[in-house]
Amino acid sequence: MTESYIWRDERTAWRIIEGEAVIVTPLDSKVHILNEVGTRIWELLEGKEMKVGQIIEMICEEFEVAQKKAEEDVDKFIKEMCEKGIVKIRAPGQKKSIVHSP
Amino acid sequence: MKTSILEKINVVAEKECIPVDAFFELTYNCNLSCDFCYVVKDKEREELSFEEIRRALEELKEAGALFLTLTGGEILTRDDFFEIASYARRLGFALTLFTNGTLIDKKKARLIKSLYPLEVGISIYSADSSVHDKITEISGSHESSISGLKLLKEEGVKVVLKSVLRKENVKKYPKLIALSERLGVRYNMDPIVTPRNNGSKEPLSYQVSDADLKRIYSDKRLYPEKLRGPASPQANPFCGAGKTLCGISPYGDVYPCIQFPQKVGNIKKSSFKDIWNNSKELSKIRKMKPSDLKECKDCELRLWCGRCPGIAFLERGNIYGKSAVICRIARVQKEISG
Repeated sequence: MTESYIWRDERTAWRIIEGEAVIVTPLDSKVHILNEVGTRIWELLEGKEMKVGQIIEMICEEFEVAQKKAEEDVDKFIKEMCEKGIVKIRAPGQKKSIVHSP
Repeated sequence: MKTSILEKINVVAEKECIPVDAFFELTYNCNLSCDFCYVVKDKEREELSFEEIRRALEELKEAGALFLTLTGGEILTRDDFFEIASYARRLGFALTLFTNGTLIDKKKARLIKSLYPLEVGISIYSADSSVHDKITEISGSHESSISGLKLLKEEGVKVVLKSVLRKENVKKYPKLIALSERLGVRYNMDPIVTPRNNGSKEPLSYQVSDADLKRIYSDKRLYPEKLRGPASPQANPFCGAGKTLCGISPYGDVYPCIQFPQKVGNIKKSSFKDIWNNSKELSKIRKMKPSDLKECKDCELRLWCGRCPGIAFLERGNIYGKSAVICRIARVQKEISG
């Protein structure tokens, strides 16, 4: 998982409102609000994909949490975000699938 | 879940005056000539260029706008529509499009799909093409709108059939519901006809009768949720206009809401941020208190009233005053609730 890459699903709409990422997933018209750590991860993904390992490192550093805890949290976050259509993930070496870039 | 999150966002947005919901009229040009349209073109004024719209979109993003409705006139009469809409998507806006659908071909339907709009609203006034075409004053417009709608559906785009109910189509609205169901799209029918944006009350002559209004508001297919009222006497009589809502006209005029065309600034002359933060008119709207509504505060209909300062402004130029259109709806809703 740490070698995998994640990026924002290009279909989402979003804004940071009062410090929280508010994300709209157009396929189901749902609105999601991310917590502080989720919002930080969303910001890190601005215009680029990132290695999950890199994200874990930054979360450890910025939120002063232990490596194991950060790994568990990020893992859970990514799974949840993938299910909701907020981010996408690819294994290293796998081609990035872009639905459409407007 | 969706409602509670949206409510939470709205509470924050209202408190901080963040225009999360923006309506942008891209043009007043239209290939149809609907007799009750609220739009009045000003031939002396130039519509916004792509560059001006691009800048306005960036400023709206900066101000916190998330939901963006692109409307007109007819949005697809702008040659640069897809450039504008694609740019809005790149800025992270959640798009809704309002169109008459007549200019949508297969290629445009695909391009619209690629914008991932939350919904595309297509105006269709009747299941009967002759009634629709009489309202739009363009023969064949019904067929073209239905064709555009079907092409969007084929691409998997969420479509809503929008209709204003008026004297000429109100009796047969169940047929329009049946048409929506056959086409597999959501429908949204509204009996509110508003004055034109220059205050002309001419479109009000198309309003439905009280008896039809009662029938519409009693129809659970149109209003599955409980109707307004009676509300708590402490309920907030104000809407999000100028707080969570904003509108921009094709000439760059900024409004508190698209249905509230009081000019509070112009983006050709000032930045959106400057207008939004410093407009005296907006400040007045945001400071309105129930006690300011002298004509409404003791009204027997107030608990059933969905007060609209925009329609009051259009009717009488007085944002604190009563509106005949809204009073009538409140009266009918009170009668229905017994």
